[in-house]
Amino acid sequence: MVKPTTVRLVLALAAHFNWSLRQLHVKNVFLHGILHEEVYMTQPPSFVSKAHPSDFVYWLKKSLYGLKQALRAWNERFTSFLPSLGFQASLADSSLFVQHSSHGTLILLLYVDDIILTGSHSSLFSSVIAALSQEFDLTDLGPLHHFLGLQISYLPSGLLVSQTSYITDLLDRVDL
Amino acid sequence: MGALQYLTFTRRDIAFSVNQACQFMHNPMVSHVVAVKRILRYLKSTLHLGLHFHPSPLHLQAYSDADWAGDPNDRRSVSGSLVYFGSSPISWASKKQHTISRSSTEAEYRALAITAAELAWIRQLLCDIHILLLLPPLIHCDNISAISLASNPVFHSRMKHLQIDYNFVRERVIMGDLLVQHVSSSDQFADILTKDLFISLFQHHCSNLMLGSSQPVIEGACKDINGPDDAKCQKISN
Repeated sequence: MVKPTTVRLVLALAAHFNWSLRQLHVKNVFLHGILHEEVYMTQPPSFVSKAHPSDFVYWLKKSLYGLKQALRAWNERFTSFLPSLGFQASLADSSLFVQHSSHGTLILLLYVDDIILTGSHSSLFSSVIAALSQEFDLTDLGPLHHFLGLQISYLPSGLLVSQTSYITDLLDRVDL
Repeated sequence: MGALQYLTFTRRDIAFSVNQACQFMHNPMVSHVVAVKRILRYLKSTLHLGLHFHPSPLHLQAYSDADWAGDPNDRRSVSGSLVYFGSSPISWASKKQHTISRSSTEAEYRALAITAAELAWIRQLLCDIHILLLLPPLIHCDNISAISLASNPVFHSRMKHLQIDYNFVRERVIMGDLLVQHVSSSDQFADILTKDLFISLFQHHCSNLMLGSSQPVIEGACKDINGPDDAKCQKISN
């Protein structure tokens, strides 16, 4: 779980150095995790094996939605892949990853299936995005606008982070 | 209620009110529901307020405050802490302290320790991103005895039970990892996190929160509602 302070700190840094913010989304995130425990599953309709229609179950190798191991398996898969791109997990917040190189610094924030990329050179983004999309099924959402119910607007003087639509939804729910 | 708590992600101005209302969740009464409705109405009129980040010198500054024995029900103190990175507020908390303090110094000192711990964590985070601060973080505190306690090895018998917090903050001050400075109560930005304020002070602090609006017109409306918002806090605590 990413801490709110970390998100605000990264946004403040991006505003300070005028770094661009990029948002990525991982599709079907929980299907990427690899299971280490033995999990069995009855044959679901339309996936019944022809050779063994009954008395047999599936032995899952990768995680599925609804498994309690799914979140952990995904997180493990992702965090073990990132070091190969030169990213290091922060000691203070395990969902913050930093890549230092002679070209500059790149920061990656992970919240389940949403990823924020920011850093000193936007040219560094493309290689990371290419490497990530080779490993996972990825959508590049372009510049960051919406994240965790936050709206990010770019002003000449910096960044404005608001929760206007979140409040509107909440007010709608209570009929105000 | 959880939805309101999530709103404090950008809206520091409601952190205290939400924290107060949350304490009655297990057994809400009509007055609490009225209070929550008031928060919602306040939000409706200040829909477009958000956090404003802009470039400024990179320096960590914090405000630490406590409202000693502020809760009439159990006389626990509320501590508020507010951390600025440059001019951008990045971390804040309004929290009821676990133990009952017998003096305001004790309450303030506990708040100081909580803020110091938060600052240490943020420094580690910055260190991981390879951002070095030129100056040690600075805490503003409006209680002179708490400040002198942080830099002086005087140890009164009354402060004995505060030992852990005491040593934690003092060690950091001695190592030069932390500076503690006095700030007058009127410039105490964390005030808004610890107690219900009068309208004028609430507005004054709101402007310090770097709450910017995407639609400047709306800010005018904000003022009318601040009054009821204060009244709301009164209602909850009574």
